[in-house]
Order: sequence, then structure tokens, then C-alpha cells
Amino acid sequence: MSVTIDKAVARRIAAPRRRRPWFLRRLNGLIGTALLAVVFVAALFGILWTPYDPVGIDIRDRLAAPSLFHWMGTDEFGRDVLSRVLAGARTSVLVSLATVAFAVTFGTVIGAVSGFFRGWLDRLVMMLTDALLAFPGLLLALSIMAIAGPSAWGIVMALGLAYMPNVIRLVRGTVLSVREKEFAEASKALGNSAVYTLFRHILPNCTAPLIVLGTMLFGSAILAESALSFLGLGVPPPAPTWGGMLSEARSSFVQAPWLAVFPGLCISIALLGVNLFGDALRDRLDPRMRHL
Amino acid sequence: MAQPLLRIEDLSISFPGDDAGARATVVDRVSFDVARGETLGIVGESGSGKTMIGRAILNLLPPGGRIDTGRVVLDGSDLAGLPAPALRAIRGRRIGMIFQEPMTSLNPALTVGRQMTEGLMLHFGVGRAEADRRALAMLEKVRIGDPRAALAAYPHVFSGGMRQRIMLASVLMLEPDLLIADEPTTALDAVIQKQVLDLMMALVGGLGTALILISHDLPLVAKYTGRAIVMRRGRIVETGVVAEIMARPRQAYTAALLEALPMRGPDRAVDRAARPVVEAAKVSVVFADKRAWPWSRPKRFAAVDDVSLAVQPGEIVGLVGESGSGKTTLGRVLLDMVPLSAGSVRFDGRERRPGDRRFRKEMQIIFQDPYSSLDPRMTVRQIVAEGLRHSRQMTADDKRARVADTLEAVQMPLAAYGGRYPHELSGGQRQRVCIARAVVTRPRFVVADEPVSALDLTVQKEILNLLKDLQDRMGFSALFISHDIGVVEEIADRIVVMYRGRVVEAGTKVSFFARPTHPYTRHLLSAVPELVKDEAGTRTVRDRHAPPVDAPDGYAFASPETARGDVVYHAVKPGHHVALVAGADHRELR
Repeated sequence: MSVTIDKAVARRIAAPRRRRPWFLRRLNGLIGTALLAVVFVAALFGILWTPYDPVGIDIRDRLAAPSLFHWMGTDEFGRDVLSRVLAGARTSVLVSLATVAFAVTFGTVIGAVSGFFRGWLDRLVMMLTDALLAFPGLLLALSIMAIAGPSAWGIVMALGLAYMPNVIRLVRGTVLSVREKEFAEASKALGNSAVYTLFRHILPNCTAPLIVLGTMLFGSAILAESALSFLGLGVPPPAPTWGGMLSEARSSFVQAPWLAVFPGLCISIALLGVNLFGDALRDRLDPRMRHL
Repeated sequence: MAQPLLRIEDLSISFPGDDAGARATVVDRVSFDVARGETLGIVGESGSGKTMIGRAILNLLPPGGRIDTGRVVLDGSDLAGLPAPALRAIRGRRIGMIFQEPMTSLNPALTVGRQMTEGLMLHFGVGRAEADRRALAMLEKVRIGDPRAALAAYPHVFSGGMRQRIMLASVLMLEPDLLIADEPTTALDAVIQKQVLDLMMALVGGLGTALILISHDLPLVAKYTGRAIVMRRGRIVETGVVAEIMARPRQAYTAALLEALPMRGPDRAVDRAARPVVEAAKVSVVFADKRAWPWSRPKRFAAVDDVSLAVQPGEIVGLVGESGSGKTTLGRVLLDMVPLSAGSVRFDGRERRPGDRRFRKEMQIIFQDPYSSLDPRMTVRQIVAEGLRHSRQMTADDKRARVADTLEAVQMPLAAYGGRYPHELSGGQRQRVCIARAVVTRPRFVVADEPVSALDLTVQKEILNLLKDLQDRMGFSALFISHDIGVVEEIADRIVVMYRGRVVEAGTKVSFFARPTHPYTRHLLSAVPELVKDEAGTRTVRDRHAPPVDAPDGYAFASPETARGDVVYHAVKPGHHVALVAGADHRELR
């Protein structure tokens, strides 16, 4: 087999790199990437420029249907729905990114240390994560939010804490298997410290499943943030969020369905995009799935 | 001429080569016949396509594999064209297969009895009780102690050799016409390998089953089969009766495969009076099992039990023993990678305390498995350079030069291989990188833990030569650990045999092989065939024979009664000791 692999490698090195990147090579990756791109561009607009002020009230133009002036119509205070959707994308994306970053950073460190050093610390961490996992994530986030009060940082903390046990368990499990590999032992034999071995050799070999989990958590975070905002426990009004817009749309849903349709569509697009992209990522990072 | 049992005609197999869609041919227009009751060996190095032929016969190619041309004809009917149900009727029933990895080829969730009787009940429709009865008889034939208990047990309680025997029993119980054994013993110790193969040959001979033995080890195949096919890069390079191939290999490649069998290395002078580089005095390592209950006492067992060992400057000590003999643990203790429970380790005359990293640069280790001992996310250059992290007095330029030098020395030039990742290298190349990583600090002592056990014979030869060459140039001392006493004979100056955590015999190479004394040593020796060339240059492979040397009152550890109690080491010759039961009469040994 070695001969053929060498040939394949040689060909890969020799051939000019003109092929499409991996995430565009399959349909799920292609669609997922496109949808995610839409969401991120929307978020970028939300940060840089929106057609109208997303919180600017215009009483004369209440509940206007979609038109050339207001592509997605206006709400009961005459605020431009497109601008609010874009600003909502900003909130959702930033909050979800921060949530994932929070959960992954702390979860990785805790899980890695716990899996690598084992002992009483590991047992304690596992007991705590088991306890946290016993509650549904959203319920946990709800109760934390109820204590902390609604704010963007509150959501990040609440959801981050709720997701952290997943990260901890995943990282701990991977670390447990990687630390038994001989290259980890080789690092010890070279005189490297345990912390160096953990961060230089073991963690880099745990990244593949972590990236997949992180992507999937990003999707969950968007959904959970919308749910919290829908319940009035998220980013406080008048700041626009998709969940908050859906909640406000309830009262005038029959006269102005666009109020619910557009933010709802946004949530769907974002989630579908994340899930398809996550699938493509898993196909890519798990070599056993490749030829199937 | 009678119709052959199996005929392979013009068989070609390909796999997807790369993402662009080109296919790589791994078996290229291969044809051969197997007659009823015949034993055929297929020999070749990794990548020669030998395994794929075996799998193609049963249409069990891994995903992506495809038969491009050719036919597989069993008793006149083409297997390639058969629909799945007809093929299933042949698998197991007419053609049985044994795989290399005994640890994974039995299902851990089913009892041995369930797995053994599965095929019988499926193919022959016999009832539970009858199937159990036959399984029991078969387990007796493969000499499993207490077969009745074995039927109800799960696979994890059995060792690798036992599992392979169970596999053998369950496959042969269906009395297939053909048995395909794909490297059935490569993962096993030399002693177990011989036991399993002897057993397999006896059973196959008794049933009149034809056998295809697939292996990288030509001398082994030569010993067990009548006819052999030598393969290289998917093609047959030589085929014929084994005795003729051995006597007059027509291809240089075949001769190289034969010559790869380890042979006695030259005798070298070692300064025995010098201060040892490493000296272990009465070292024990005790492991404690998990407690059954929080208040119960953990079970303890000694992996290394009261072992003393000294390695002289420039000396290569070969440490031999079966799996579980404690040889690996002893190597780790010397490097302070496993804490010792009793005794002391001195390095260069200074006592080494646990956790002391001062000596790390001076002592290194080479691992067995070249697939897991290199960090897959680092390049060859990074891997080798990492060894110099703790060499503070070296400048960055020094380090670069040292890495380049070392890679050159293991014949993996920096320019060609420095930027490669481990998965782009072959097993032998990876092992070279492991060696480079170990010697880059110019250590004074290297532990090589089964460094060639996972490699093909030819690659094994290259690595052994490389190690000898590096040792010559750099002058380090080494502890070479192996289950294969032939390999040790090739490279070591002194041999130490371990059994159940104790040293049973130790001696300089000349004395040791001139008069192997302890029964266990002779047992190890008998498992390793030796290649003999007569004056005409004709090669034969034969078993080693060591005449028994009696010690009337008994060798320690030779039987359960002598496995406990005090041990004395009796000098057979100066520098050659054997373990006896304390107070034993050793006049006979003189």
C-alpha cells in the first residue's frame, strides 16, 4: 500500500492547486456555506450599515406591507423590518459566537486538564458536569438568566455555562484516548513537562471533533438566544433580535404576517446553514466517512 | 489434470488513488491455482497486494476496492458473478478466513460459544445442543484449557494467542475446503506464533483443508507450506515449490526476503571493567489493581520483581521475554517513566531519583508502534527538533545543523523529508524518524522497546542495520527489548531473558548461545527458525535445537513449584548466569 500512497502524495504535491476547496465540493457543504455566508453578510451589514435606523420609530408608516421603500415592511411602531433583521443578525451572530468561544475555551481547558491529570480533580469535574447535564440546557440557561437579568452578556454566560459540559465531556474523552498514544509518552521521555505535552501534543490532536461540536453549538446558540429573547429573557428591547421580533409579531400576526415570516426565515436559514456546514465538516474531519 | 479447488485468473484490483478520481492498481493480473488439500503461501512486503487477493476471493474488499479484471473460480463456478446470498453460502462454509488482529476479530459482546456455533447453526442447521457439543470438541482440539468454561466466557478474558486458537477452532469447525489465513500470527510473540501455526497445520492436515497462508515472512511460509507465490507491488515475481525457491531463488527480491531473517551478528568486545552507564539494583515495580470495593485491599502484582541489570558503555543488551514478562516495564523504569517500588537505578554512578529530569537528555527511548509514536500534527523536522528543546547551551544554528545531521544519519535527508507528516511515510520510514528523535540529543543510553516487531522482515533488517550503524558511530549503550530471540541474537552483545518479572538467564552472546541453559530460554529458542546456507549456497530454514541441560534440583520458574521462593543465580561461565531454586544442586551444570 505504501507505494500507491506515495504516488498519490507525490501527485498531490506536484499538481497545481486549482481544485475547489473541500467545503464546496459536496452539495451539503455548498448549500451550508452559502446559507452561512448570507447570515454573516447580514450580520456585517447590521454592524456597518442598515437602510434605516433599526430602532427609529415612524408612527406615520406603521405596519406597512413590504414595498420598494421597506423591502420587508414595517412593524407596529413603523420601524423598518429589514434594518431590524440585519441588526438582529448582528446580535444573534455575535452573541452566539461569544457563547461558543466561552464554552469552548473554558470547556477545553477544564476537560483537557481533567482528562490528562485524572485523579480527584477529574472525579469532581465529572460529577459537576453530570449534574449540569441532568438539566435541559435551555432550562438551565433560563434559570441563570432569571437570576442575572436580561442582557447580552447574561445570555453569553448562561448559554456558555449550559453548553460547557458537552465540551468538557468531549475534550476529556478525546484527551483520554490521545494521552495513551506513544507520542505522548515520547514527549515525556524527551523531558517535556506535562503542561507542555498537553498543549503541544495532545490538544492539537483533539481539534477535529471539537471543531465539529463548536459548529453545532453555534447553531444551538442561535436557536437558544432566539428562544430566550422570545421569552423576554434575552437582549432587552428595543434592541432588535430575531426572537424578540417574533415575540412582538404575535399581536399583529394576522394583519402583518411579514413581521413573523422574515425573522423566522432568518432563524431557519441560519440553522440550516450551520447544520449542513457542520455535516460537511464532519465528513471532512472524520476520515472513516470519506469513501461512503 | 484434476480441476483445481480454487483458480485465480488474471485478477486485478484497484483502489481510489486520490481525490481527483485516478485509481491505483494494487493487484495486477495475478493468476494461480490451489489444489484440494494443498498448502500455498503468498509472500510479499506491505503494499504487495497479498492481503487484497485473500479478501477478493471472498469478495470482502474494503470500501473503495474494486475487482477490475479476472475471475475467482471455486470448483468451476465464478465467485465474482455470484449474487450476495450465494456468496454468503460459500463464506465460512466452503472458504474460511482468519485475520491478523486477534484482539478485534472476535466480537467482545458475544460469548465464545455463541460465536463459534453461529456458523454451524447457520450453514448446517444443527440445533443448539449439537452445536455446543461440536464446539466443545473443537476447543479441545485446539487445546484450550477448560473448554466448557471457555464456551461461556467472553473474548476479553483470553490472550492474543488463545483468541487466535479460538478463531481457528470456529473457522475449522465448519470444515471448509479452503482456509485463508492472513498474517494469522504477526501480532503474536514468537513462541505463541509457533504454537498457533503448528496447531493450524495439524488441524488443516487432518481435515484435508487447503490452506492459503499470507505473510511477509518468507522463512516462516517456507517452513509451513508446500508451494509459494512471491509478490511485489501487485505482481507475482516468483512462484514454485518452496524447497526450490529456497534453494535457488530466481529473483534477487526473493533472495532478499530470505536473507532478511535475523542472523547472528559479529561478536564485539565490551569493556566489562568500566563503570556501567546504567545500573539497576534489585528493582521491583508493583502495580495495584482497582479495588473491588472502597474498603477492600487492592490486588497487587509485581511486573518487575527484584531485577538487577547493568549496561556497560557501548554495550547493547538484549532483553527477551514473552508478553507480560515485564521487559517493557523494566525499560520504562530505567528511564523513570514508571515509578519503581523498590531498589535503585544509577546512571553513570549517580543515583537517579524519581522526577529527576537532569538525565532525560542522556537517555532516550524508541517505541514499538511507529504509527502511534509520532505526533500526526507535526512535521518530521519538528518532531526531531523537539528533542533539542532542553539543550539550552546549543544555539538555534547548532540545533538546525544537528537535526539535519541526524536525519541524514537515518537516511531521511532533511531536504526530502523534513516537511513531511508521519502519515505520508511508510512504517520503516516512521521508525527511522523515531530513531532520529531518540538520538538527536546524542544520548548515552537508549531503550529500544520492540522497535522492529511491527515491521516486515526486510524493513526489520534495514532498521537493525541502521541501529547497529548508529551505535558504532555514536557509541551509545542500548537496551534492546524484543520477544524474538533471533532479532536479539543479531544485534545484542549480551542477552537477558525475563520471565514473569524475573531474570531467568543472562549471559554474553557467545556463552549464551553456545550453551542456552534454562528450560525457558531453550523454549524461546525453539520458536525461532534459523536460516542455514551450505557450501553450495543452498538455503534451508530449520528449527533451532538446544540440548537440555539438567539441573537435578531444578531451575527456578521452570514449573509452578519452583516459581516461588528464593532464587540464586548460578554462574554457568563467567558472565553467564542462570536462575536456580535456592539450595539446588548445580554440580551437573559444570
